[in-house]
Amino acid sequence: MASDPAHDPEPQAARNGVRVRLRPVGEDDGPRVVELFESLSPDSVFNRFLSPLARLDEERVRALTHLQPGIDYALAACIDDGGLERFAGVGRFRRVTAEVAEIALVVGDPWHRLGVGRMLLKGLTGIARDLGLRWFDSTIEPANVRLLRFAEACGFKGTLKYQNGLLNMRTDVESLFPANPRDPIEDHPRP
Amino acid sequence: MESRSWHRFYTEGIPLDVIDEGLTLPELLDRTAARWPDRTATLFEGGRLTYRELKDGADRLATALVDLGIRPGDRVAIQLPNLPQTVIAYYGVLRAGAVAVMTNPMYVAREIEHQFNDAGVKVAIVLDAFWVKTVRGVRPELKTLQHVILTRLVDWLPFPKNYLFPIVGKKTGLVVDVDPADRTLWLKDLLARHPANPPTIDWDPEMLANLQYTGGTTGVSKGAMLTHRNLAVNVAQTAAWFTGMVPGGEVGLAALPFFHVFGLTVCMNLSVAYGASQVLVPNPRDIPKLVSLIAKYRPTLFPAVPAMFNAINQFPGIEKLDISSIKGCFSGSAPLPVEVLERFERLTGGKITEGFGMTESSPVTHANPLYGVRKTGSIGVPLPSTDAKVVDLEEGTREVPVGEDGELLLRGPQVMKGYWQSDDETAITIRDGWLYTGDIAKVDEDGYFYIVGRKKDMIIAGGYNIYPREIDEILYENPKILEAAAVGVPDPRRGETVKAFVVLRPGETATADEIIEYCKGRLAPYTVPRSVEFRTDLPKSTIGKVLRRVLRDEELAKAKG
Repeated sequence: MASDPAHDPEPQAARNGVRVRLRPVGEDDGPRVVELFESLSPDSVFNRFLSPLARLDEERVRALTHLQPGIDYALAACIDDGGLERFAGVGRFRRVTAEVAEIALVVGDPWHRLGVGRMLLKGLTGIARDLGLRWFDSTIEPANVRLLRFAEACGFKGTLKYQNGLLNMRTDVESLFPANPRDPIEDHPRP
Repeated sequence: MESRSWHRFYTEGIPLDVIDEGLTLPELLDRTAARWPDRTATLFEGGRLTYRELKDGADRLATALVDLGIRPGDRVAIQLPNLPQTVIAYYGVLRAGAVAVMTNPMYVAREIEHQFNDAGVKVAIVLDAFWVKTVRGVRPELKTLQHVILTRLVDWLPFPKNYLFPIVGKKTGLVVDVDPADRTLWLKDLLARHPANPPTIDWDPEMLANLQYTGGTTGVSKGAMLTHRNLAVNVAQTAAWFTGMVPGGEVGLAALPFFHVFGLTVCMNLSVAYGASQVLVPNPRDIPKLVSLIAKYRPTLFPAVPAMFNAINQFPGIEKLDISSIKGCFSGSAPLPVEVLERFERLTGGKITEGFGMTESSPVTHANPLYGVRKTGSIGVPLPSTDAKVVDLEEGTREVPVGEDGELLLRGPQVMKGYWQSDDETAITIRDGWLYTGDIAKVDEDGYFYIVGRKKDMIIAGGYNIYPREIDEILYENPKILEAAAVGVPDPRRGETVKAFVVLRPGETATADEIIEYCKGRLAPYTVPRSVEFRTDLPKSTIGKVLRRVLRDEELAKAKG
């Protein structure tokens, strides 16, 4: 699905000054998704898939890029690398019920700690609120301390439940990036 | 120690607090050797080492290590089965002020590389067979290793076994040829060439004694920093539990491997601190041998894992053998089925105390009173000087009511300093002085604790902790495999065992045996999957996360029938 410049927000600056633009992931983004995967450390791969995948096979790439309208929402954090568009990260959620969606974020290792994850989560949060979603669910590796701290920094309120070696995290969508007149939720690209 | 609900269940003679003598492990050996110089320290294949000889060997090794450039705080790896030279090596390393890195003999090259490099190992003391089989091949990758000291199984065998062994051992791969070009040193030569003139160390019990590698909560192997105090106090805590133990009068059966902290503390160090004789068992899987050693040497103490107790129970003709010398056992590493406990106690007349511990706590923290109230399924009560509580799973800050599930927290002088070079993991594991175990537990109104689950994604097979991710990573390296997930499934003998679920790449074929064979040599033997099931797909969440627990639930449902 091509991005719509009329609805895309202005690029934002990552902490290293590089301009990052959010846009929906489209069906022709397979190569960029694979390239992003290849920039991930083994821990990052495991945290995202709960499995130490060695590569993304065709079926998985297809699942990550061919989204079901009204069910799947995925945003890519894009950077311009000498005229070539690359993904610094992708955030997505899939609607499970009217109020609940499963969410996942992945940021390429060279892009960690630069605010890209926050940009993606903010974008997804805006979409989720528009859709009337109340909860983000995610199953995470309990030792993923970085994610837990990141969630806390984004205003996480919700529940954490351990089950069979994994952590089920349910986040109240409203608790994220609390809106105030001085800090409105930024516009987000509509898929 | 403040008063706790469980203190009233301490039987007579068990103190609420142990006295921390502030001694290091070498000082404990010195004391024992001074008090009982001619008492047998180790028994191995009929050969005997006294405490005087043990101390002498350790002192000589310490002298040799200093000669090789080892200084206090330097890391020395020890990769040996339970042999007399293992005890000499351990105490020699500590005597030099160095830090022991106990290394599992079953490790494959990749694991040795990680552990040695992470710890910064400068010297390795290795069995010659392990050198030839594994360590030699990975030697170029070991960045800090300067010297390798080898020892042979035969080196401390008495006559005539030391003459006969090379003939028999060749056939079983236990006798190997070491290439002189390897430029290794020999332990026996070093001891012969160096006097017992160890360095003068300004001992401080807070000095590191061990970097003890463990998976912790994530499964990524890291070194738990255990001080002399941690280990010496845990010896005292465990000894206090065995009321009726006679210093200088006990015989321990050392079947638990010394490279594991359970064997290190409850077998080796406990024996040395209290002048017990240790019957060394290099291969605890050889049950006929184990049983014959019990009948011959009549040990009084037998720390073990449930699989060992069960194996002895099942040994053909065990009822006809006299194993009544055993008076006290400690069971740990995995749950002990009540029928196993009852049969073993009937056979021996002794008592088993089931307990709990972890590498990060040296290890023992809980046990059922040996001669008091024992509760089936419980890990017992905290040991002297140990505190424990159960907190909410979500944030880990609120103590939960009696009977409610939560995470088990521990506090006591046996808790490690932290993980070596893993500040993040240390920060999530030790908070406000409490060790967050990652185990889900509950406590009853009497203060008896019960382990009900694990936060960690871990398999416990035969007492060994296995992390599924490690197995998955190896499987994913196989070019035929598209997806894989290793899962713990119930096993009557080992408690749990590893089963691999595999999805092959389109067009590929493979057999279960082929996959298992592939894993051997890439994984430590106890980690290799025992069975493989092929699937067309693995269960996943809506956004593609592999859900191992669905596979496990299916297996548990199958096991229940």
